[in-house]
Amino acid sequence: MDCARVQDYILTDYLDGCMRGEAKEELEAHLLQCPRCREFASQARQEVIEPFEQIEREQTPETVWANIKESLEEREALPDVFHSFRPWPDILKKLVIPRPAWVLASLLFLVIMTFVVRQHSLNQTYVETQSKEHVEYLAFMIGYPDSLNGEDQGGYGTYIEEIFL
Amino acid sequence: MQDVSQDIILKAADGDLDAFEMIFRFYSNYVFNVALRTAQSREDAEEITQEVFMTVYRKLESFRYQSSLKTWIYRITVNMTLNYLKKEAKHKNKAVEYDENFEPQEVKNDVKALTEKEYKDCLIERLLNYLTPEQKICIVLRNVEGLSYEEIAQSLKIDINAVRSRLKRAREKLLSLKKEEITHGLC
Repeated sequence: MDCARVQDYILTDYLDGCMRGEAKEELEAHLLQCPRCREFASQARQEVIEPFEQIEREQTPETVWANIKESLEEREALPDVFHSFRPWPDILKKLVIPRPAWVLASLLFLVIMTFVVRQHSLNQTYVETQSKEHVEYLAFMIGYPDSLNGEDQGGYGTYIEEIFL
Repeated sequence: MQDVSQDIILKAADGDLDAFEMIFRFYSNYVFNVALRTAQSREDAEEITQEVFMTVYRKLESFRYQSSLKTWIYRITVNMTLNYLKKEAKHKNKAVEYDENFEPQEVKNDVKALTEKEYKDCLIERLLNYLTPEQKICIVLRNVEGLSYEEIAQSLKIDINAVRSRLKRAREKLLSLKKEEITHGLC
């Protein structure tokens, strides 16, 4: 084991007491013969382990449970419909108090979509009308009076298609 | 620490407040101490503890026993604490707080009033303030709460080697600090 690897172990498994067996023996053998790593281990224990060992664990203040209990009792006092499906109050809250940014974004989206759909429909009508007029004109020019009776002849008729295709 | 019995969990999930109080009494000190060492104030720690248990109560019905209740509560605690730390850093616009040049912002001048316990707490708070939220939570879970690497990995949903790596970086950072730098302003 080289010094860098030993020092990595010192900062983790060794000082945390997680090293066992052969690896631990190997590391301790290295420490016996390497003063630099020994010094590093001692410094690390003193500066990053010991200060935390002196911490006194604290008891949770009673007010915390009192607050939780109060909130839960208020919650239990809600009508039965809220108890059968617990996420209801949250969903209702979101519906009743919508976020302004979402409302604005939704409205904007609706307006844009209405405009786009309407524009598309107008264009479609215009293109259809234009095509029909062109066909009528061409039919007139070549003297084919029945070519536009699409309903009777199944579309624009084969005569025009024969000419142009 | 052993887990509470399944019977109590089922009763609490069914809305039994007494059963839920037993769960609270069993785990609240763990939750409170993690919050206390990571949050900026005692009031915030109390608020985090409250939030954790309200979440536990709300989600207990959907607890599927895929992990132990202990691990599940640890995970909720860690998530809430990390969210709190990130929100706090963002709120105060202290993105630079965790970089290499970070200097702790508060120097308590009222040093005469510090008791031995307050001195130790203050020292720990300073040490922890040099770390990123993820490093901080790892150190608290290991050094303060005594969780194993495996328990930390489960609580943070990360690989056990990632736990080692975070602990190593955190300790390297703490070792690189000069003693005077940490104790400046403390008696």
